[in-house]
Amino acid sequence: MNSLQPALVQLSGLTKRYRTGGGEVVALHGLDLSIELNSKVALMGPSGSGKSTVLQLIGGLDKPSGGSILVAGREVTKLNDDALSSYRNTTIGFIFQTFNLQSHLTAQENVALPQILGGHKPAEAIARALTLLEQVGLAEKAGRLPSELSGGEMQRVAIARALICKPGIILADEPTANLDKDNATHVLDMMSALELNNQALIVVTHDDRVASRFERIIYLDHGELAMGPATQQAAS
Amino acid sequence: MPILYAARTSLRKLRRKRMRMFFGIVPTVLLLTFIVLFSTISVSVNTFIRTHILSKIEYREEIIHLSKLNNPAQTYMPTPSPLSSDDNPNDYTQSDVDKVKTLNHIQDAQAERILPTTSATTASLVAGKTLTVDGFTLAPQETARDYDATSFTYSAGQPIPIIVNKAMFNRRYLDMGGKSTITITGEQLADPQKSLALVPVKSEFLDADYNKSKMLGRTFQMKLGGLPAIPMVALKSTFSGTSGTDVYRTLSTSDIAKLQKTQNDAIGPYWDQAKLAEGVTAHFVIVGVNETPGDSKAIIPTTAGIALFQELYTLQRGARTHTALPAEAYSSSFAGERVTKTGKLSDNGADTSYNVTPGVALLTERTSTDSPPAVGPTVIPIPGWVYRNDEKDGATVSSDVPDFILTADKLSITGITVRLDNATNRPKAQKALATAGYPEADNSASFTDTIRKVNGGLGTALLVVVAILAGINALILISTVGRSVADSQREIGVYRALGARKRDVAKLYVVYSAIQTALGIALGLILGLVLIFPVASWLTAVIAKLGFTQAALDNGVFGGLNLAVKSADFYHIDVLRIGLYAIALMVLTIVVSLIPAWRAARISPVEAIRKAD
Repeated sequence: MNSLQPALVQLSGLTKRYRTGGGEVVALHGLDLSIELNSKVALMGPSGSGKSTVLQLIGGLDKPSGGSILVAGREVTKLNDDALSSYRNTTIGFIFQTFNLQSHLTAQENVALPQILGGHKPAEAIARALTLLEQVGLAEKAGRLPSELSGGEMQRVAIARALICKPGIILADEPTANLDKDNATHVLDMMSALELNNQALIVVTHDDRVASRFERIIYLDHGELAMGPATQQAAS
Repeated sequence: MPILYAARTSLRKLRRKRMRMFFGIVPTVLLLTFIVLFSTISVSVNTFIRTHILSKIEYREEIIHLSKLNNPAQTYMPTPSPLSSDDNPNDYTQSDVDKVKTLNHIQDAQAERILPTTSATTASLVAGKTLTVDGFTLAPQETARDYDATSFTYSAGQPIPIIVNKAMFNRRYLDMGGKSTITITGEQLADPQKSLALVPVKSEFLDADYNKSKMLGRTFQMKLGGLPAIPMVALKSTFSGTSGTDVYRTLSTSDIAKLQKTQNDAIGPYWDQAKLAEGVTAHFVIVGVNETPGDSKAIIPTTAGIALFQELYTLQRGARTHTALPAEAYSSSFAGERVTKTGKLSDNGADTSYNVTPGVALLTERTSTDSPPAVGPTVIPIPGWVYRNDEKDGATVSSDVPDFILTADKLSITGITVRLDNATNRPKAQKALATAGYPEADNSASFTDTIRKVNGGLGTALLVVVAILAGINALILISTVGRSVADSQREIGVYRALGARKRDVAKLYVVYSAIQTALGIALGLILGLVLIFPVASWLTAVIAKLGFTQAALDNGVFGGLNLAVKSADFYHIDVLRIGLYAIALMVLTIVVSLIPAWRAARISPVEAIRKAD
C-alpha cells in the first residue's frame, strides 16, 4: 500500500441491497475502502462477494443503498442523472468481460464513441481513436466490425475505448474471463504496462494469476473486506 | 450527441437489420403511395367537379325564373297577355319586380316579357321544312345562364342571339289517311289515346335534324308577322260535353278561296294586305337550346325584342291605308296607359285636349259572323296596331299611334329573372320568395347540393382515411421501434455506461424512427407517382363508363356542359398537399417514437449490462 499517495476513491460505509424474488439480498455491508492515485488494484472474491457491485457503484452505473462514494473529492452518490452520465463519460473507463462493443460500429468508431458522447467533434474523436488503436496494435483493423475481430482483439479495442477520454479510474470487470490463455496474457500484459498518470486501475477478478499481476489485492467476501491469501500472508 | 452522428449510426443499424427495416417501412410506403394517389385523384376529381360541373351549375343556380305560368299553385295554364295591363292576373307588374329585388339573398331581379307577334317561321334551319316558333320571351342577360349561352348580348345590325327551343322541331302536318272526311265521336274524343290517333293533325319530332351540339353557333333567318296562314283542314265541331262530333274535312280549292276571302274581308280595306304579308325577316344566331319540356318559347335579349317590335310596328303602321277604322268591326283588346294628349282629332279637326289610351291592340280579333263557320276558324287574327280614343269610345279606332308606346314597359311582364347573391343560398332565397308570394317550381338545387356534398366529402374522406392509416402506421412504428429497443438493451446499456445521457439515447431512437419514416416516405412518393398514370387512365375509363363522355353529355343531364374526361384531368399532382401530409407524418413519427425512445432512455445501464453478461 502506498500511503503517500492521496486517495482517489474513498468508499465509506457503502451498503448495497438488492430486492429479489426471494427477498432482500445484501451485497455490501458498510464497506470502507480507499484507493490511491496511480494504483493498480485487483478486487478478488468468490461469486456473490460483492466485488462487481463495488465496481458498478464506483463506475456510477448503480446507486448504493447507503454510504458514500467520494471520487477525487466529489460525492458520486449525490450526482443527478446527467451529471452521472458525464461522470461515467469523463472519469470512468469501463472494460467489460464480454467486451460490449457496439456491433454496428467499426473498431475505430467504437473507440471514438465515448468522446463523441462527451460532445467532442466526431471527426476529431475518430482521428484520436486511431492513435489509441495503434497503441493496442490494431490500427490495421480500425475499419472492422466487432464481428470480424477475435475475442482478444475485441478486448483490446475495448481497452482503447476505456482509455480515450483519459479517465481518472479504469474499471475492468473480469477482463480475461472470456479469453484464451494467450490472449488473456496479452491483455494482462497490456494492463500491467499501462502507465498511470494520476489515475487508478481497478480490476475485478477471481483468478489468482490475474490478481498477482497487481500491486494491491483487495479481498471481498459477503460484501465485506476479507483476509485473502495475500493479506493472510502479510499478516503472518 | 450530434443529430448527424445519430442519423449515420441509425442508417448503419437499419442497413444491418434490413428485414426489420423492410417491415418497419412497408406501412409508411403504402401510406405515402395512398396519399399521393388518393390526394392526386381526389384533388383532381374535386377540381374537375368544381371547374367542370359545379361552377357551371352554380352559375346556373344563381338564377331563378319566376313565372305565374309555372307556378305550382296554378291549376291551369293561362295565356299571358302580350301587352302590359294592370289587371291581367297572369302578369307581373314592375312593383313585383321591385319587391323581389328587396328580398334576402337576391341581388337583382329583371322583368321577362313576351314579344307580341302573330307567327314566326323559318325554313332555313331544316331544309325543306318550315319550323314555327310559338313565341318569344324577351329576357335579360342572366337568363342565358340557364342554357349556358356564351353570349347573349345584342348589338344592332348583328344577328340576334337566340336560345331556340327543342319544341320547334315538332313539325305539324296533316294526315287524312287518304280520306276526305274524318269524324270523331264524343266518346272517342274523351279518350286521349284514341283521339290522338284519330285526329288528322299530327306532329312529328324532327329527330334527325335536331342535334343540340351542332345547333350552337348556327345562324338562320325567320319571318315574323305577316298574314296568318290558311288552315290545313276544315274542322266542324258540334262536340259539347261528351256528345257530338268533330268532323275534319279536306279543304277544296273553293273552300280555300272562301277562307281567303273571309280573311280578306276581316282585315278589310284598311290595310295594304300585300305589304302586311311581307312581315319582318330577322337574322338569328343560336347561342343556346331550351329543352325544358312544355316550354315552347324561344328566348332573345330584351333589347333585340324591342327592336323587332319596332320594326314590326313600323311595317304594320306603314301598311295602313286608312286613318280611321269602324270600331264595331273589331273585337279588339286594348292595353296601355291613359295619358292626356292635346292634338287634332281626325273627325273634327279641332285642337282639343282629350284622353287617350295609346295602348296597342295587337292581334286584334274579329269574330266571324258565322257561328260556327262552315269552314275555317271562328276568329281571325288581324295584324296591325291601333289605338283607341277613349273619348270617342266605340266610335273610331285610330292608326295614329304615337311613338312613346314603343317601349319595353308596354309589354307584359310574364316572368321575373332573379339573380341570387350566391348559388349556395338558393334554398334560402326560394324560401324568401315563397314567403313573399313568389313560389318557384324549380327545385334543381337539390341535385347540385348532392354534387357539392359529394365533392366536399372527397376531401374529408381523404383526411379520414389518411388519419386512420396514419394511426395504424403510428402503432406499427411504436411496435417496431419498441421491439428494436427491447432487442438493444445491451447496446443501450453500453451507451449509458460510456456516458450517454437519457436524452442522447432518446434522440438516437427518435432519429432512428424518423429515418425509417423518411425512407418510407421517399419510396412511397416514388411508388405513388409511378402508379398515378395507370390509376388515372383507369379512373378516366371508369368515369367515361359512368356516362361522362362528350356524346352522352351533350344530350344528358348536363346538356351543353363540356364534361368530357381526359386522363390528364387526373394528373394534377397536389405537391402542397402531399408535402403537408408527408410533414405531418414525419411530425407524427417523431411524437410517436418518443414513447419507445423514452422507454429506451429509462433502461438502467447496470441492469442492461448485467443481463447481457
